[in-house]
Amino acid sequence: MSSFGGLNIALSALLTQQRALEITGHNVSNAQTEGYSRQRVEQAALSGPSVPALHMKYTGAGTGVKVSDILRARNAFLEARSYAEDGAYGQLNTIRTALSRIELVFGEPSDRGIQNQLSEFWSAWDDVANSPADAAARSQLVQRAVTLSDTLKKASGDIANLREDAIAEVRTKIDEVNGAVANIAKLNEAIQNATVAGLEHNDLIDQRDLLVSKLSGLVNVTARAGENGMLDVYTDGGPLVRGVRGETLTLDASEPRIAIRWSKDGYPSNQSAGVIGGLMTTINDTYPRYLNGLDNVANAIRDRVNEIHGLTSPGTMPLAVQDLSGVGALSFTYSVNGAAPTTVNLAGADWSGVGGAVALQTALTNAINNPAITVSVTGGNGEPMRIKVSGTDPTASVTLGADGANPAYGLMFGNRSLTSTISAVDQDQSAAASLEFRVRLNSGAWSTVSVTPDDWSGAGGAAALQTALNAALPAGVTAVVSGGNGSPMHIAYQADNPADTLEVGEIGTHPNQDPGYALFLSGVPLGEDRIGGRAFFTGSGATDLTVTAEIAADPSRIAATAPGRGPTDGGAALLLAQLGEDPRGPDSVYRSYIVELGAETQTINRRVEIQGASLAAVNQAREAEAGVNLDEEMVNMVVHQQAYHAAARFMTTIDEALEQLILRTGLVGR
Amino acid sequence: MSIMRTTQSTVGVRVFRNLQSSLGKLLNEQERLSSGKQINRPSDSPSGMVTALRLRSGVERNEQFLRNISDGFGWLGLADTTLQSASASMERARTLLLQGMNASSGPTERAAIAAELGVIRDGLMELANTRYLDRAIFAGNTGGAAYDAAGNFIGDNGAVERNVAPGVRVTVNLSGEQVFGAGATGIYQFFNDAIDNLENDPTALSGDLANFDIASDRILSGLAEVGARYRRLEVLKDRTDVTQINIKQNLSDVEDIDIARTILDVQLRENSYQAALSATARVIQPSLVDFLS
Repeated sequence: MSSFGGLNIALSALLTQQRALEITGHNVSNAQTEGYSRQRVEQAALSGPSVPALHMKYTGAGTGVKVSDILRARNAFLEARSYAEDGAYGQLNTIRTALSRIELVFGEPSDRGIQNQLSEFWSAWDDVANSPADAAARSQLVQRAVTLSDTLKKASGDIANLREDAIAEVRTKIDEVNGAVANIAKLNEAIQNATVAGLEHNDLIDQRDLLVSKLSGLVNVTARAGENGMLDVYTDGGPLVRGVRGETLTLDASEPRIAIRWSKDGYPSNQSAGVIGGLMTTINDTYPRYLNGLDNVANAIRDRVNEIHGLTSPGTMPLAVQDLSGVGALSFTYSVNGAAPTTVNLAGADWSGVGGAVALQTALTNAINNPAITVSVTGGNGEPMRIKVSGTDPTASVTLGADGANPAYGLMFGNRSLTSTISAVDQDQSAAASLEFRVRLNSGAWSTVSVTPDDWSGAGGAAALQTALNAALPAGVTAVVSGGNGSPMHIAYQADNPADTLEVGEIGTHPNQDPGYALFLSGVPLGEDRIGGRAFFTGSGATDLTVTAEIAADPSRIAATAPGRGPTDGGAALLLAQLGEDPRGPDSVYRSYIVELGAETQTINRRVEIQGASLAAVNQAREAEAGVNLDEEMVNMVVHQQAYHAAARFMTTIDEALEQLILRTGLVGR
Repeated sequence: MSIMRTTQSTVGVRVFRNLQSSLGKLLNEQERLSSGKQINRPSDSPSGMVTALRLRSGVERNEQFLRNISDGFGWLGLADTTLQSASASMERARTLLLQGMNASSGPTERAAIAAELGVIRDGLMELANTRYLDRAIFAGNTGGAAYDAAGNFIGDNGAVERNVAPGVRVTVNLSGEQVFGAGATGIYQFFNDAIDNLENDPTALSGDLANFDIASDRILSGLAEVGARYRRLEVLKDRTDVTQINIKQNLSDVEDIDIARTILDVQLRENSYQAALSATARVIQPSLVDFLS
């Protein structure tokens, strides 16, 4: 070792401690920098030469200290976990936001909610029933129906707008992802260059990790170390960043179910986490589900009201009245071959569910208890029920009649009744010999209507039958045909002038004139307009539920009256008002909808809370590993400062020793 | 488990999280207090929500039942008054007829009695056409009068019903045919027969007396029926009133807050929030920096 080796040792110590102090300063400066990982100086002792050399005077002491490395305190495992937790939290929180917004659309429970408007709508029917001739009550009913349908329309529009907003947001977020991806790729390049050149690049890595961490909040992210310090970032369906190359994503909103695709090849990337994953879930699942639910509510209102109001046909028992358990006995009469009528009484029961048709058939057979009579009940459980009471002997003639307050019964096709239904199987009439019936207005002379039998069973059959009927009907009478093509076809005859009374009667021998088809009601007759069956609501969902134009324009066309009753009867309105009490009515459809919304929101709230806690735990662990503790830095600072002082003192000592040698040695005897 | 390394920033984040959660809870309680409602959105309590919605529709339905019932009272009350008057008129007519049957009555007296019976008959026909809110109460559902000028029944026997309770209907009218009769057995014909007999055939008057008794009985039994239905409505009204109070009470239990408890809760939350604030202020201040010189 040379005489001046000591100075070198002191110098290395000074430089190393200075570097360590600088790093401490860097740490303290970045104590609050987002994504910063604290750095630590690794020191190593410089040992003597390991290979002996000529004139070498190695004394065995070391040669000082050096900075061997500057380490980033970072735990890759915790990083990966934090990406996963961050992604899950972003997704859940986005869904939660969407559900809370849907909740606000309904504003339940309150006096302005849909429930309240439904209740008021049913009440309005009672007011019409109380004074069917009162124009004010009818106008009020129309007003309430319009308010109800408008509110449903608005709620549906609001949810659709929320979905549009979410699509706009997902677009912005995808731009953010693409920006971050480009930056990560650039940083990868810089890091690669620095690594190859052996330059310090800890802070570049910090920046890159911060970008990946931000990315993990947006999309599902996994990161893998690549070559030369680079980082590859993968998401659902492929790599976002591979080395210095970044891939971009685009939003494909061309179909109702929107998708995220890779710009390079158009393959879908189904995002399962992060804010974007959450937004996609809300756009493709949450919002459509609640829009659909609202449509179900609107359709339940439309169907149940229309069923009673106008489109109900004799011969079928509408869904609305298949549960008769609350209304007491059914009562009707029958007679075989013109004998004296026998009265049949049957206690009301619920025949609306699975097996209801069979139960009703059994109950009717037992109540009639006559081997000469056969009862068949079909349909039910979601379909209108069809009841046939006929003679066991095909040659017997069975006449059904009403008893007391139960006059409602009707035949299936073209006779007696203003509305009729043709079953799906009977829609092909092409083989029938003749199809004739008669109509008259205001008790005048009967006109015979003759229609050439045809096949009306397929698509367009209802329209063809309507055309054929209207061509054959006398002036002043119109037929409206709906259904068909697989469902029972419904025919309503109506007088063009509401003041006219129309009667339809049978002649001819068409099989559908079989008087054995009958309808039983519990003393509550079907709603039938004075004019003929007409829907109260039209539309195919919450977005276009509307009061039928004719009724909106002229509330006197509301069918408050039951068939066969006087003009001031309110039978149908009474029945409609009771829909509000129906445990399976539109109200309950709406209530289940709101409860589902509430329950789902509550669940997601809890999940967000739990996910937030685990995210916080991971972040804390990460911070514990990578964060800057000022106390620790202060201790380090003091330690390094003292070491520096000591090194300086060591240098002074060597200096003094050399001074002694150089200046004061060899002066003996001078 | 080793103690986790703690940094200033960890402390800050954790303190902030806890303060946030504490403040959030305080805000929830305050929302409850200021709105007076426990359930402000469906997710606050999905099951409470369905109960609240059902009870709300129950309140509205019952209000309507009460309106329907008071409409029914109008119909039945008017029918009752009308039939009372008709019954009194029949009493008077019977007395007059007895006077006419009295042997001491001469043709002049009988003519006078016949004239008075004519007046009573017209009065009875007016009663039979009594209108409530412009509807003849004995005309069923025809919308027109119950009897025409010639005494023919031109109404129908349709029932006028009111929804008065879930699944319960009450008929609030009586058919004119049932209380005043129609055609040959109608009250109009009975009076015409009596007037005719007073003028032309006094010996046949005993048959008319029997007819008058039939007419009287019909009116009285109509009165009894009206009374019974009125009573039924009264019972239903009392029951609906009680139900309404119960439903509102239940609704209040489900929806409304317990004010005293909520105020206490707000107070507690506020205290814990303040405690958290003051503790935080002490924890986050010092570090070694403060003590190095």
